Amino acid sequence: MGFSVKLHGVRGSRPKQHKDLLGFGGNSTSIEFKVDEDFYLFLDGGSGLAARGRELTSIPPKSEFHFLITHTHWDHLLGLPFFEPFFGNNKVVFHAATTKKSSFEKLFAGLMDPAHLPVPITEFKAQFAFNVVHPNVCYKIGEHVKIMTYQLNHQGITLGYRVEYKGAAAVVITDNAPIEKANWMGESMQQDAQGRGAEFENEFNAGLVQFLAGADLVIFDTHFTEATLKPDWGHSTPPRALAFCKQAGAKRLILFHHAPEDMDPAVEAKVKSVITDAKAANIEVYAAQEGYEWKVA
Amino acid sequence: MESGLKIRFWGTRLGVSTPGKATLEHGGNTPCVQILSGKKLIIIDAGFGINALGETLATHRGLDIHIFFSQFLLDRMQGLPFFLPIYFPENTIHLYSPHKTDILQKRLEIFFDHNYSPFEGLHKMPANIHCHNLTRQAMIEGFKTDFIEVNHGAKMAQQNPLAGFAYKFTFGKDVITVVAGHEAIDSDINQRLIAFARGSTVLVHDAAFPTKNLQFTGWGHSTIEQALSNAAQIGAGHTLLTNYAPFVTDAELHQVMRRLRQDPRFTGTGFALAKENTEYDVVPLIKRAAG
Repeated sequence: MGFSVKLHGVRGSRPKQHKDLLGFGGNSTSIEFKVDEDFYLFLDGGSGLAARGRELTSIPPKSEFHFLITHTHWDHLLGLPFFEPFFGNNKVVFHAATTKKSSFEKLFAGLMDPAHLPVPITEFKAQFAFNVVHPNVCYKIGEHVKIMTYQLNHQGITLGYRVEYKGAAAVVITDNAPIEKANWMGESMQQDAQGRGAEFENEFNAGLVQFLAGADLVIFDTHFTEATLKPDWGHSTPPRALAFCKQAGAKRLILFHHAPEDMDPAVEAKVKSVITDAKAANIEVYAAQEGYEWKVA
Repeated sequence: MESGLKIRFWGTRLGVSTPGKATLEHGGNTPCVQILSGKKLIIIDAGFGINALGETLATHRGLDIHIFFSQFLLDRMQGLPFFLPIYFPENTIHLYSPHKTDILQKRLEIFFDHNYSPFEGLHKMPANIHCHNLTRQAMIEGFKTDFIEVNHGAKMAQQNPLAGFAYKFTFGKDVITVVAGHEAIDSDINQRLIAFARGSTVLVHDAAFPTKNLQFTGWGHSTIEQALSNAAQIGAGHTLLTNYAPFVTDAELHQVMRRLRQDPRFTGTGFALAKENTEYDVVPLIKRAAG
């Protein structure tokens, strides 16, 4: 036991079944922080969550669940209606930001709209609760699990999460476009920037470095390569992720949010593209692989 | 004389995609079926399977694409934003259902809603989008198209008054009936469906659950045995089973099929479990079934 992070879904945009990507996996974002507490702690609810739910069943060993929600794009939510523990008498708390237009509670209700749900709504016997979290907050779940948030550069409000437990830290940055030279900012970021340009960019990037500082494990969006980068799509690249980790003195970098177009060799090539630089900086770098569990403490 | 009619399965998985080795043969993308005759094509449902279909059309412009929705459930719609032809203004995409067009549009809109996606609305997508309300038989792309209500499940019906539909496409003398979601229990609605589909050259039928003890009753889906029982009553030339529940593996499907192949009730007809990314030529299918 201790503290580990298990990856149930590593793919960005949408889940994809294809024979040539199963080495790293085709399920969309679902991450579990395994802690010695009387609750389960998940991040997002992409398709990878469904299979994990079948393992846990509707009567899991522990009856309390916490979900850290990064944002409400479909690839991060679509597994939730198929998570079997929701069919049992369990307690579920969603930790999520409120967007300019809507609360997560409302958006969850929209997701679970009986008019499009493939599952009878009467099956959902769990009690759902909603904890509104803001960027740059620090709080605890239970007595020992410390959560910190940071607003990322993506559409709407998207949060990065830092989880500290047993003296170790794991940080997850699922979706984040580079901010530099006024290239592109999501609408929430534009509001924060208030036309301050370069000053805001430096502030954001320094803040992100601080957020990652000394982390034992960093899971970072590397959807694109430098050659394929589309800044306004809200995603990053391996060299950008590594640059942040270097400045932050992070120990391990896990390249994450693989593009659905990227077959296994393309994902391997992403690791190769930064491995020399990473070694020089004494950072281990790997590609996120579905089903793999990373020991953190 | 070969009709050249083909059926291709791009997504065979209900509910939620199941990428992984255990579902590689029969498929792990959410539902999407394509019927082709030369350059004419009809699509039924827009689950994530539709993305790979779209890749085959990526270099074409000026396309007229016809997509029919069997139900407005998440798994039948979620692939539409990832269908490449929707990104080109030279293309026209026709969306069909027997429900009113405002219902069709409202149900699809959640996948183009700014809260849940990077998009600003269905009609802000570059392609021309036309929503159609099917009220009776129609000729579409040279296919005589007809539809009938199916049983979308007693439990589902309580929460969702929007019926599900089966479609029948007649091309020359070939008839393909697609029953994408239907709980085939003895009922008036099932009898009407059997009469509607009678004599189909090829029947595509929901077979979500491998066996009765694995069936979620009232959820609107059939067991393999229920699907084959319908196929026998319909007298289909050949039956392709599809739309497997997320928990079902290839190995479990094969095991059930080994038993059903020996079942005297089903020996008279040809049937197979649909495989994702596999194209079936209609005429050879029937010949094989007859032989």
